[in-house]
Amino acid sequence: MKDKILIIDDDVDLVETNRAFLSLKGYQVCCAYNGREGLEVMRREKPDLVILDVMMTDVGEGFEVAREIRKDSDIKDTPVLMLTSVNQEHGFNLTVGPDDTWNPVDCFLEKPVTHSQLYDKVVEMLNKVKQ
Amino acid sequence: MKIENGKILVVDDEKGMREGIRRILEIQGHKVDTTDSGALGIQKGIATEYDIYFIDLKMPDIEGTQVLREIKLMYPEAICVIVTAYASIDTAVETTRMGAYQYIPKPFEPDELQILVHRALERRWYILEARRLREEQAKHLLEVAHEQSRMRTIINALDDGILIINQEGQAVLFNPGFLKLLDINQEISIGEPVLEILPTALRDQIKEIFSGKGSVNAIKQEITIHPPAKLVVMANTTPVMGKKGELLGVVSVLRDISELKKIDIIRSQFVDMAAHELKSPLTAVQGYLELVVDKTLGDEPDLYDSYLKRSLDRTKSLVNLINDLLNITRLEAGKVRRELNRQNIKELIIDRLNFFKNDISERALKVNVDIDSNLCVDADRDDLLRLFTQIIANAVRYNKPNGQVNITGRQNTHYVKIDFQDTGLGIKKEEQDRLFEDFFRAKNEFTRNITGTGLGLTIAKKIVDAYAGKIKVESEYQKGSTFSVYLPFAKQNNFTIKNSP
Repeated sequence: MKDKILIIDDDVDLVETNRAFLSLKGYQVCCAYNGREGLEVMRREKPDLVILDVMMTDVGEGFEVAREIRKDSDIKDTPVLMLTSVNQEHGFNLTVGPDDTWNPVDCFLEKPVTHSQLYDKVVEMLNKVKQ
Repeated sequence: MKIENGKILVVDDEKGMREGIRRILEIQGHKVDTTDSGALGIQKGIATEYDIYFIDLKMPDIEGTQVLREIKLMYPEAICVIVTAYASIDTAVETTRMGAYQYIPKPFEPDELQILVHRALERRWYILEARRLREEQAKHLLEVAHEQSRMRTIINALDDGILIINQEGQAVLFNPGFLKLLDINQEISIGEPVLEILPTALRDQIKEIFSGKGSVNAIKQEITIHPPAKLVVMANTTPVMGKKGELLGVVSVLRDISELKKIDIIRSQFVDMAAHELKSPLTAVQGYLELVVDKTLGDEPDLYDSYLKRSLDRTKSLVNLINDLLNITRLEAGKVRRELNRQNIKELIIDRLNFFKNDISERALKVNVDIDSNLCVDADRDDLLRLFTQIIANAVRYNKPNGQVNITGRQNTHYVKIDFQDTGLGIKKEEQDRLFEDFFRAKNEFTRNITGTGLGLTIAKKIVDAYAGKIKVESEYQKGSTFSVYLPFAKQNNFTIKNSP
């Protein structure tokens, strides 16, 4: 069966390009345009991987979603690939522990991301889960 | 050095002598006063200070020695010359002991007198000069004392904290600002060791300067002090060097930079947001172009066309965003040069509606303008155009097909009020408060395809604020919004307040 990928992003065009590309690569793709919708779709569709935008305009929405995912036992093991616009190293002080700045994602990619970069990362992450 | 024109008093009961001395000395340009008795001599001699006193020793009323004593009492530095017909060693000793400068025996030659006066005036000059220097020094000392207390007052009044420590780590000087910034409540007296009560970071700074023995010039460092309130202090510690280059102590100046820090954080958040907002459209454009260029999706000309069109839209919005960012930066930097002129509101609104002509006809919107053609404000034309652009853009873009835009302008008591009412998507109650935040955009299934920078209302508010105006919004989700702009009216508005119809 095809792997299922959920894209959560408030930018319609980013969702569209990634959707078009990943569908073509043979994935089953579903989309959500905000955090709340994203969690709903996730619980319903149980995707194999989530591509999550940091969604800066709704202060920390992307981070909130990541934390919610990890709290929900049904979906907490889903690998999360976060797209950021600010290099994590100097942009955020992120920690791996469950505190205020906890951001439990598996991987960051800094925008702009080319399709091949995204594809490589998606393949890598999905393989890791299967092992 | 000597006094050229002396002031001289002659006290002598013998007229010939008085007049003789006067004649000789006046020729030389001196000013000579005379009295013919001891009593008058004392009176006159005390009333003003003369450079030289000639005092006859034997006078019928009062002895010359008595006159000398009185004058010396008043002016200890007075130069008194005793004139006497009874010259004797005893008299000489006696009068000199009483402070006479010299004595001259009668009769004397004019030359003798002139030489005496010459020397006496020389001496007088030195006396006066010494007195002047003494007075000057006294005055200077007074000034120094005054200066010290003034410096102390200034240092105490400073907001910045100042601490001076000697090499032994004892407080040499500090001000209330220092105690307040470091939240030190205990009493400290001058000469007391203070290093231990300082925050570690500051103590380390001071120790580093001491261990550098003057080779370290200055250390500047941010120190966070808490509790009670989280305070960020810029501590600047510099060595105090002696004349021979030896290290005497250190001076630390502390400045509260908490507010600047807050601004710093806000600014870097703004930069993060701006980066995000710039990268998102870029990523979208890049994604579309990759799909089109690589023909990834096969032969789909219509789809590719729509991708290209969307890329173009996003590119335009990027340009808008950059312009908006620059506008905001300019507005914030206070660098805007405003030319205040009388601006006609209706004319500007019509101008802007023309600008949005295509968008308006695309959505088949009905626009009503009800503004008195005399309604004016004093403002910069570009500011008002920018302001109306942002508000009309929202009224048009977030409207529904076949919707309405009603623009009304009224003069209130203090303000010109312009309402922009639309029948658009409206704003949810919980989102209304955030409407004027940087980059905020109302997000729901209806607004998803509307492009915008999220900075339009930020700019509108900044412009309105710059004119001490107001911008308010009333909105009902799904029904529409009314944005009201209040601007101070032009002072000589040739417009009479009408009762509203």
